[in-house]
Amino acid sequence: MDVVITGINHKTAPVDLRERLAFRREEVPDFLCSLTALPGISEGVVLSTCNRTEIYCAAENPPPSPCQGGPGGDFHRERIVSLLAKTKQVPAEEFADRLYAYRLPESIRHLFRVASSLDSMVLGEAQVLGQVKEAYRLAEATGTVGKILSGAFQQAFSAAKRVRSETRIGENPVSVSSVAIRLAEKVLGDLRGRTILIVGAGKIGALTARAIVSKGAERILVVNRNKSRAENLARELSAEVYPFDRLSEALGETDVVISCTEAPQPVLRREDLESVMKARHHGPLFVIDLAVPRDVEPASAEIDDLYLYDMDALEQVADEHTELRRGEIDRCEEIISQEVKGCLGWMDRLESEPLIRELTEQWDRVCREELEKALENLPSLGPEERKEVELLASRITRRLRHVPLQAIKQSPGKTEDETIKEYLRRLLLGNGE
Amino acid sequence: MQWQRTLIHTGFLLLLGSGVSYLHYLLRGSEKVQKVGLSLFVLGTVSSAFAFILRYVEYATLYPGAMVIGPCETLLLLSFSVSLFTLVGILATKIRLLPLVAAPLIGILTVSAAFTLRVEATPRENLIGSFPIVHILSGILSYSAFFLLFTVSVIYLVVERELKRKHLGPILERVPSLRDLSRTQSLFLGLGFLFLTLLILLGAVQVWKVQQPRVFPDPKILFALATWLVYGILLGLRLKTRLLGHRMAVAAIWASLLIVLTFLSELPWNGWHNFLRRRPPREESLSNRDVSNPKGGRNF
Repeated sequence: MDVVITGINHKTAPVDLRERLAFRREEVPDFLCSLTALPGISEGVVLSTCNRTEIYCAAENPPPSPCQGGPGGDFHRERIVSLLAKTKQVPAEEFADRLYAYRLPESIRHLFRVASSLDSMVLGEAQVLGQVKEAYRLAEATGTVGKILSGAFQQAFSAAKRVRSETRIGENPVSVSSVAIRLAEKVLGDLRGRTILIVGAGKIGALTARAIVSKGAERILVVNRNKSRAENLARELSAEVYPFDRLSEALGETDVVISCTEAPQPVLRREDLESVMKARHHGPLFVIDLAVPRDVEPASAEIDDLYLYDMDALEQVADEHTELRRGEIDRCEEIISQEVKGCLGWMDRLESEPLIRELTEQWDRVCREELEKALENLPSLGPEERKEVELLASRITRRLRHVPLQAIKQSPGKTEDETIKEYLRRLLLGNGE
Repeated sequence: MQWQRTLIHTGFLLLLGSGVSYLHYLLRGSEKVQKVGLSLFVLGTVSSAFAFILRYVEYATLYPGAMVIGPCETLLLLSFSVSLFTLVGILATKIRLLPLVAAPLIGILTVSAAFTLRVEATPRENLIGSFPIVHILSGILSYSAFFLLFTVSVIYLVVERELKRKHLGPILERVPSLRDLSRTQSLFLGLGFLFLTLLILLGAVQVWKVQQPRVFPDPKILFALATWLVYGILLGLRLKTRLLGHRMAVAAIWASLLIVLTFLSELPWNGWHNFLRRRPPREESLSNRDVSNPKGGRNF
């Protein structure tokens, strides 16, 4: 049995192609049923996110013919490409050369890297693990997940958990809005119940405000010179509108200020902010200046208890965080390697199971038959003695089968070892007659 | 003595381990190491507390009813109360890094206690009953809380500086937010002021009982009253939310200077009030003393 992955991602295909090959949730079950109906493919999972579409299959090992193209070479690739082209109505030649295909052991490594967010556009992002889990649950509900993919995905989840808990890959936010939120939390603690003031009616301000509201901020105030634009934005965000001449008053009531006007001169001057801070008795004020040119006079950053971050500062922090995450990659890869090794070992044992079961059953049957014959020839034995003879037979069988079973369990079990297993099967069981 | 030494050394090693674990947590962020650090901190605290109890039981047996407290006992009590408040701080504000700053100080106090183990305290015949020990204990608890207030204020200024410099590195990720630090400041300010008030009230009762006429030239009392006044003002302003953030941190650091002055003021009298100073004759030292008559001194 093999685990085969075929797919495209942000590294191999542009967004327009990714969009055309992406699956909506309701499309997945039908595709999975068609996939597992293909000869030689017994299990399947589809992972479709904005950055990747990947098809995971548990497939029979290909016959020993030359593999057909693509990284990693894949016997099943052509059939999956055809099915994908047919399902998504995209000609195969448009994406075939952008597809990658992996087989064991690379496929398992790839799955673990995807789940751990090492293959993501934003390194260390947390969402991809949830998306992989969701893809797995959907396939499970469709009934296209069996022992192999189930085991592989479960181990991928635990590898991802290890990567996140044992390294700092997910510790530092890397997007500008998440950096702004993290900084605000460092100053103000929990953002629940806080008040946000948006100065200006720009979209970027609204987006950042939404991100802060998602952290529990309750009240939003909007101040803008153009009242109608302020009212539109306020409706969108369920916010209150303050007239521009009451800006100081609004500043006194707020915890976070997001400024994003198009004014050519600073809207918030140092002297104004100093008097605001005095009126607030220096209660901390977190100011995000997203405007270019800047809305808040840079010298205001020197005021005690006022924390001013402009676009450059936020981007600088985000870049620093990306570097910190990159520094963790080696440690993550080390964990992935350990987990991949464990998973491949489990797959080998899984492959050996039928042979072990067959051997155990046959030897037990022989033992039972010979025991019955022997006991028939010894009618004078009492119950205690009969029990002793049964135990003796059982012990001898167990000891005799111990060495070959251990050898089978410990054999690496893939491809070339199939010959060894077949040899063992013939040696110990005969030709199967 | 052997048991006390073993317990003190064990406590010191545990606290050292705790400090190292917390440092590792700060640098690498492993939650497991942080939990190990906390466990070592608790065990170290318990070990030092047992050392104090053994020491005190020994004195209580030798001098029943008498007030016996020397440098070793004071240091052990100080280390215990700083540990206690650190644990209170962790529970109340969830600032898990407090032991990182508390463990080195407690370690120093504990190891100093080990060095002073051989210094035997002499009983103070003029301090009989439970008032003096509660008075001293209140003082130690109050100064421990103020020490932690000082520490938290320093952390506040460091975190604030890093935020102003727009650095949010991995270490800053693990330090608490300014708001949490501010809440911790309030907690320690309140606790410190409460115990300081208790200290002064109990002291006043004791002075009234013994009708001591030479109280007010005593610098220790003067500094204690000044400390009470300053911290009282800080607490009042804090409760009215008129002293927040950076200013509160700076004020708390300056106020801690008063604590240092209080300690310096009592150095000439070995930590006692000047009107309680007593120079026992050499033959009355603990080793040569007739322990069957421990209360053989003058009583007020």
